[in-house]
Amino acid sequence: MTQTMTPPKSPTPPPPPGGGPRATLARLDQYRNVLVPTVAVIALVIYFQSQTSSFVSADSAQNIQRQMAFLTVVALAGTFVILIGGIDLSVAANATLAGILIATWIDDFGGPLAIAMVIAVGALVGLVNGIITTWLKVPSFLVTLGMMSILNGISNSISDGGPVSYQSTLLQKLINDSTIPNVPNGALIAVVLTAIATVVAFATPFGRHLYAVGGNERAAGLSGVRVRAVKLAVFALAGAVAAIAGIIFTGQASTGVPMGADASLLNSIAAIVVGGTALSGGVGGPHRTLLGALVIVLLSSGMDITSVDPYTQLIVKGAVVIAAVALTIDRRRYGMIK
Amino acid sequence: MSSTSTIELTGVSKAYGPVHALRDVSLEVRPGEVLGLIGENGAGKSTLIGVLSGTVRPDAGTMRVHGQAAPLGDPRALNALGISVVVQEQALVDSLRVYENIYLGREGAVGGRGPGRRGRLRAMARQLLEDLHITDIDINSVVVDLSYPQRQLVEIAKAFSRTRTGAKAPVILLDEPTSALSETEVEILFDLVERWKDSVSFIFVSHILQDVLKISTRLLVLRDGRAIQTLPNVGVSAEHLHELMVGTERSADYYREDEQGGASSEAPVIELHGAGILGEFRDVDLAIRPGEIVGVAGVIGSGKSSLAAAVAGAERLHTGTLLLDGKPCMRWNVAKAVPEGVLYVPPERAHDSLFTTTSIRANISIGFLDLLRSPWTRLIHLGEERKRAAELAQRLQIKTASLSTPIGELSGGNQQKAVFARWQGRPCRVLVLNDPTRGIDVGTREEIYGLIRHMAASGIGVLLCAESLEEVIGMSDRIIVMKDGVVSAELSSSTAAKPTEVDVIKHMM
Repeated sequence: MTQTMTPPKSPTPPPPPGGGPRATLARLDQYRNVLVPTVAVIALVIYFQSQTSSFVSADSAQNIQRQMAFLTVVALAGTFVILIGGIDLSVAANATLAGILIATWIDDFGGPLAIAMVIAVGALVGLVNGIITTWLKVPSFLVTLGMMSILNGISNSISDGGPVSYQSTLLQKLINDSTIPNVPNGALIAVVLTAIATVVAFATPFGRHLYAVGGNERAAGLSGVRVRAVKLAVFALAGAVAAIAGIIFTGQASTGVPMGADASLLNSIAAIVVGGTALSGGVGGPHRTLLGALVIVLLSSGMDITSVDPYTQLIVKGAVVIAAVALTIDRRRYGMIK
Repeated sequence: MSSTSTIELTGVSKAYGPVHALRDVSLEVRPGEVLGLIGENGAGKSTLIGVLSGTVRPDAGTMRVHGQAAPLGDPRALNALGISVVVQEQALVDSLRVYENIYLGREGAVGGRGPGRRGRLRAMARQLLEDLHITDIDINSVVVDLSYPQRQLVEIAKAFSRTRTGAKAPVILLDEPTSALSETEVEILFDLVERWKDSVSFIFVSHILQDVLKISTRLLVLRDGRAIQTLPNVGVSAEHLHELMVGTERSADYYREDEQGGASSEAPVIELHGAGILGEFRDVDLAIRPGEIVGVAGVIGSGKSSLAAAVAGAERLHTGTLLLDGKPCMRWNVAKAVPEGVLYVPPERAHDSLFTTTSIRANISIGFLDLLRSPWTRLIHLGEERKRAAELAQRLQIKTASLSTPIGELSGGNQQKAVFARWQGRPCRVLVLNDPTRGIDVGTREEIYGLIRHMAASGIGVLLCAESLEEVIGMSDRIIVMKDGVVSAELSSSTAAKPTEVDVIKHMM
């Protein structure tokens, strides 16, 4: 592949200034982002299998797929925003709200309409995040942190702080049944969404513009990218995808649960970063998030099976996020680390 | 006073990649002197100031301060030796008060210890401004609330404050201190210099030749990084200085003048009428016709760079109108300009053009992704993208092993070629170039000039705004000269009758 791209006139490249071994390292870096999570997956499987021989089993495969389905979709929502160099801390809370809303609405409005409405609400929440970030120029970190609290409040008001039950069997069919044997539909949805997101990221001008805005916002604008429109669209898209994650969550839980999906925020950021999408923006992609989610799910279900207590699990996950950021952050992009 | 020089700089050279900013420059400043540095844009003035203040570490050369060897490239140590600098880009902390800024980092040394320090610093600052006859600035104002000229005066006061806190016979470097000042403020500054010059040595850099001539006792002319001549400022004519600054003849071959098309009389693609941006330029009328190269000359701060940016849609006009094919365009911006074929090459490559961690290929195709979409699926045809990027990279001879290499690893010249390749991938009607050869080696420059000629010959109108006067004259069919935000002259620059640099410079300064 690289062979065919070599311009015929320059068979040997001039060493780039300050290049040599450094350039080789930089090229290895590109693979590092795929290698690290792959190695992590293999290592985790081997380790937990050696601890309890039941780790590799049909049961745990089902369980892992279930967890993967939800986490991948939440993390996909966050991936887009991180690609443009922002962050959306409200994706998990947005998913919780969607989970409550689908449980509240599905019996009254019927499945398809309720699902469409819930996704529209998610997109609207994202759009509000986007408008405040782009037009009022408030950092996305702060806007979405505030939005997280707002959404928590709304979710609890709607549900009166308790679980919301529903009669419809549609979600059961849509999320938990298997069209392909041994693969719950939820996992299928997650994989299909990842595939679509990957195609969008690499093969549409919109997707490329995400990378451009994340890589160098000013240069993107001067190359003709409508930076503000891209940002608004990204936040709205993140909201819509987070809502889909919420529907998957409620389908799996069989009731709408207030605060239900909230805990997945840290896990989703861990999945994105472990997958190799840099918090500084412009590097990575949705396909990597799938791999990152697998690492996080293996880690947490492995710790469950080997009965590591939940408090220790929190400590481990926090440490993984920090380590992953330390490994992937592009320090040249920040004048000062605060 | 003593005969030893305050500062003696010997054999200083500095190169940025292939570009020699300074070559074997020597200078000395004696007590009681005001040394004026003059030269064209890019002659090396700022680099020289950087060396003197320690922010630039030269590749070769030595420096002595009061006869003692001084550490080059160490701003703190040089500062301790009594060298302070007042620069264009101000070094004040916006959120602090005036007196806090003046004594920033020296509070202990100046104000002593103990609870009364704040009060002592205030009193000293008040006295300082009073001595300097700076009356309209309150020492308790927060700097962010001050106007630009006021901040400039605070900077100057800060530099002066060092003269009273120890160091013997200090040196104050004034880098373009007057360009943002009104006439009365300039008067205040010159009064200060006059009054203090017996105990302080000054080095004064400015584009404004009359200011330099007014205040300097001696002049040093720089050209292409070399010190051309030093001369006492007695009966020197501006004309003579212009000649010294410009120097040798241009090479017609270099700029492919034989390929020059000549001014066009076709209907303009883009016109400006009475265009202005507050604080940058005003009342500019401009037309760019197919196939002609319009040069824009002017010193830094003349508004020429903003003018180019406004034509390309990168900056919004505050007054006047922009016409495309004779029709007024409201809210003109780059995203609108690109589909119309009005394409922009901005000045700061790393900042304005490049996605440094991204592949060369993606850096090229970002200019024409919309044209790579398949008509059926609306998706980018990835094979086509590879093919187009490879063709363009080959045509522009971008030297790299693979187009998957991050563009940050290329040399400046190859990076700039990739930026040109980006716009070669789509139909172009007007190419707006804002200092397109900044920091680029001679060989690549020549290739870029060839490319510009080629594009003009194919009917593309080019607006060329550049710091290098030689480049503007060599390339252009006609030249617009900017001075203080207005067009001061419009000169023909046909192959047969190229204006000399002196002809142009006299309208710039």
